[in-house]
Amino acid sequence: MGKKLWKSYDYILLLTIVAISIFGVILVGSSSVTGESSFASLFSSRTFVKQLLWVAFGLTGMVILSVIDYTEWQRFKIPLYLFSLALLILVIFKGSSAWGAQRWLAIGKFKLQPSEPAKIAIILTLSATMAKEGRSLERWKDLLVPIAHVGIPMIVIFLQPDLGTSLIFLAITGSILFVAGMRWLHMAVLSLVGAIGSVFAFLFLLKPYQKARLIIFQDPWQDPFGDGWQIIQSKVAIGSGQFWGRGLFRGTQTQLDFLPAKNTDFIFSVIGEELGFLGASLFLLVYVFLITRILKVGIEAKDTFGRYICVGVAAMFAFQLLVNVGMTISIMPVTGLPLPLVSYGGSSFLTTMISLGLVLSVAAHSDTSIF
Amino acid sequence: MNSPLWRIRLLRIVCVLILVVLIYNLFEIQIIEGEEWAHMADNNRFRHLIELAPRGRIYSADGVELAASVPTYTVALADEQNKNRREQTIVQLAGFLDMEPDAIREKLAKHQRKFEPAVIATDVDFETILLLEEYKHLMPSLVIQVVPQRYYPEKDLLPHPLGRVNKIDRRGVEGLERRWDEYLQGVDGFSVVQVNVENRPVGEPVNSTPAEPGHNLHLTIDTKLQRVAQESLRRVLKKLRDEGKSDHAWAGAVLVMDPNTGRILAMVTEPSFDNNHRYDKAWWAENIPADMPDWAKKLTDRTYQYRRPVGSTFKMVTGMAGLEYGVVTAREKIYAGGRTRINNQPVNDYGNAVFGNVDMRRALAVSSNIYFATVGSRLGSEKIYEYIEKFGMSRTQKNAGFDDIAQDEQVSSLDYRLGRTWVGGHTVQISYGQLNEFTVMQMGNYVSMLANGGIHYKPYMVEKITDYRGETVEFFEPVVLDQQDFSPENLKVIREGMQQSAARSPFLKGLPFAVAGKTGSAEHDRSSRKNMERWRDTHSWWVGYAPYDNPEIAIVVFMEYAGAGSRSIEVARDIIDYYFGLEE
Repeated sequence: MGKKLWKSYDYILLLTIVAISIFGVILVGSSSVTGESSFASLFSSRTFVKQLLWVAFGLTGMVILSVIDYTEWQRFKIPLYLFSLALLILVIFKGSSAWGAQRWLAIGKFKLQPSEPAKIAIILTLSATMAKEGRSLERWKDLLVPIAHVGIPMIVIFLQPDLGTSLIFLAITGSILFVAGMRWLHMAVLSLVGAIGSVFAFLFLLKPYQKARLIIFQDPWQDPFGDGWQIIQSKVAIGSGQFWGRGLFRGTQTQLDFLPAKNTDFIFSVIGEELGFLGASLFLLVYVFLITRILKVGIEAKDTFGRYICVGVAAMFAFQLLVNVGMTISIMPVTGLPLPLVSYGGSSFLTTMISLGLVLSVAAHSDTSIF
Repeated sequence: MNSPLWRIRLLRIVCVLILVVLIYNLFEIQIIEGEEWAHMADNNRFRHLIELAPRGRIYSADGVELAASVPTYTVALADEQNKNRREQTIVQLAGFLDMEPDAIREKLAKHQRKFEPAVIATDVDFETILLLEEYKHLMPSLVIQVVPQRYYPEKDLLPHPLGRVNKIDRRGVEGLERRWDEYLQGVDGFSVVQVNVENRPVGEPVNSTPAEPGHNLHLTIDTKLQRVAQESLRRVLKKLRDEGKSDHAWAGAVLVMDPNTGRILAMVTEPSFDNNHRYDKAWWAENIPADMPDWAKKLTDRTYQYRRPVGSTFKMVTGMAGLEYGVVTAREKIYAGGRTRINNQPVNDYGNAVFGNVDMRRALAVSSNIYFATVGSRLGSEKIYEYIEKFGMSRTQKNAGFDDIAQDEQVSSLDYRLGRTWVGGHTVQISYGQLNEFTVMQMGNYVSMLANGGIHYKPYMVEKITDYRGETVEFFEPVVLDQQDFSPENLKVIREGMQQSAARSPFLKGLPFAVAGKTGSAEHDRSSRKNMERWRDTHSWWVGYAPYDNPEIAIVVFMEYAGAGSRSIEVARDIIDYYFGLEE
């Protein structure tokens, strides 16, 4: 760790991450305190205090991770991959269920969602694989290795079943392969196969509750007190925010518990209700700035491994933003994907921090000027 | 670096596209549809509750509460959209209220105004309410409403004039309750409470206007005098029945007024009833003598909703007209030979008694029909009707101007001229009080005018309106509707005749002051084709005032089908004794 590390460190990215995290933890507080809340009352909420600790812990971890040269991780490619795959398989047999899906592993008091660290593992290992000297994507068979690499854990997650997270894997893989120079023809053919496969999966593989949840967003009024409830309440919350919003801590949908999963999956509805169009748009602007900044780090990375890491992390963020926010405003199906950095949840926040720590490390070690 | 960087730049553009799509959709929901969603958010979280205003009270002049407002409890259910919770609440509530769950479901289905709770049960007893309060956490949509209802603490005192309040919409629908409804009603309050997703109210109401209790009415009625008059009338009627003097003496009315103001001090109708059980058949069956005939059981107020021939109590009208028009002088004596014919109409005095030559005073004292028939025939009907009008008793002067109680169509006196070919015999008959019919109220005003020298005060029973803090909202001074310039000499003759009439009654002996009065025994109009057995008994009337020198009260006693007018004087005596503190 020398002078040059601090010179090329991306302070703007760091500041953006810290800002969004603090904003997120306040919103988690606002939506966790029962009844009308205030800054002072936030500390009465265990959820808020826990998330605050996660944020502090996560930010510290991120900064520590950012000063370690990311290239070191290439060495742990195989054990990392196998370990995360093992965890994913374990959760199928030993996991706790929530809403009909096996997603959690209880480790003492801590509940781990293995699909979260698996995202990091896949970004790291796929990037390492693709960054190998001399790898080409010219021929069909060149795609076999990366597809198998991602496909195995993806199918395991799909079986949990966690459709949303398995789709993140698709976004991550697609983006990395795209940046790695995949041919347009291959992309077109694979997209077509994917589309046909999706229709097939929808018709024959999905459980009925998954199907219902997938299509209800198109017309939530078909089942306003069942599957449509969340979507309607979310739209009521966001819509009633109008331009200025109801004011922080003063959203009635949020504070009166009409909004389901308001501190996790539907945290954006709280933003929409309490901060209005103005606040929500500003938030989206900052969030998209964060993603493009990550991609900028990728552009300036000193090697392809670092670049692919950044692309994978950016893809993860972009996909989750689109799907999560899209879900709250009813243009995307309800998939149960959290909004990274903002939604309540330890494993999600830690995963996010690790991924950002890696990106910051790529930035910090991107110094192209040769000493 | 084997991959072109433009691919990453393309990804950055994709991110910006995502931003545009999301903001575009936000704009649509928050700006374009924002107001609709905000309205939905309000419907989500608000429950409208009405706080019903306690109805104003009605007090007597001596401060007795005649109509009170007591809380009753209504159990209602607020709108519950969660099917499971709704069903659970219905089943539980059905258990507490001892109802069928289906009955509750039906009531909910019929309920229209969704933002207001649907009434499930009214008049729920207090113990059930206590239980429900204890278990209401199990039924988040349960609303217990306090519904103030009317109660009449004095029960059978003044039930006819007080009237009735509709239990459902709590509007006054009869009597004083109806006439003064807008004052008594008050203004309902409301509150809007926030409810959470479980439909439970949270926090203080966001918006509330407390109910404003209705105004209070203060009547001119004196409850003790009212009670004395009522009990006396009831006692005398019963005595007449018990002694076999009249089998039909069941009903009647008493009116006591202040002749110098028009204030009504007592207005009694018999039979009376507990006003809390006005239409309660069981109560009537239990508390009213079994042998009372149906015609008597009517709820009609016999002081102002009822007209009857008044008999000889009318003779002061003919007398005043005769003296004022000079067709007779006070000293002129007319021969009353027991029976005669005037204008081709047979006229006889009571029992064909021969009174000989009688002047005005004596004619009043002995109540000579022949004397007043003669005076009437000299006057002609026009002039008699002119004096009917002067005394506020005409058909158009409904109840002499008394309008403190609403009626769909105010009862007025019966003008016998209408629709008939008038013959001289009719003039003779009306001269001593047959054919025409008047209300007790009109008779009260008439005798008051004789007492006060011709001032027609509007009879009234509502003196003051106060708000719930006790501040006076309106005060009603006596109103002079009309004033007749009767010659004092003529008036004096009539009054002396009345004084002599009263002096003849054994019921009025032993008083420390003189009393003026006149009896009347009025025959039912027998020209009607129906012929009821009770029509053979005359209506018993007495009108008068006391003391003779300085009138303080005017009294009308009317006993339906009770026989001779002299029988009514017993009731008048009880009133005079009480009013002037003369009881032993």
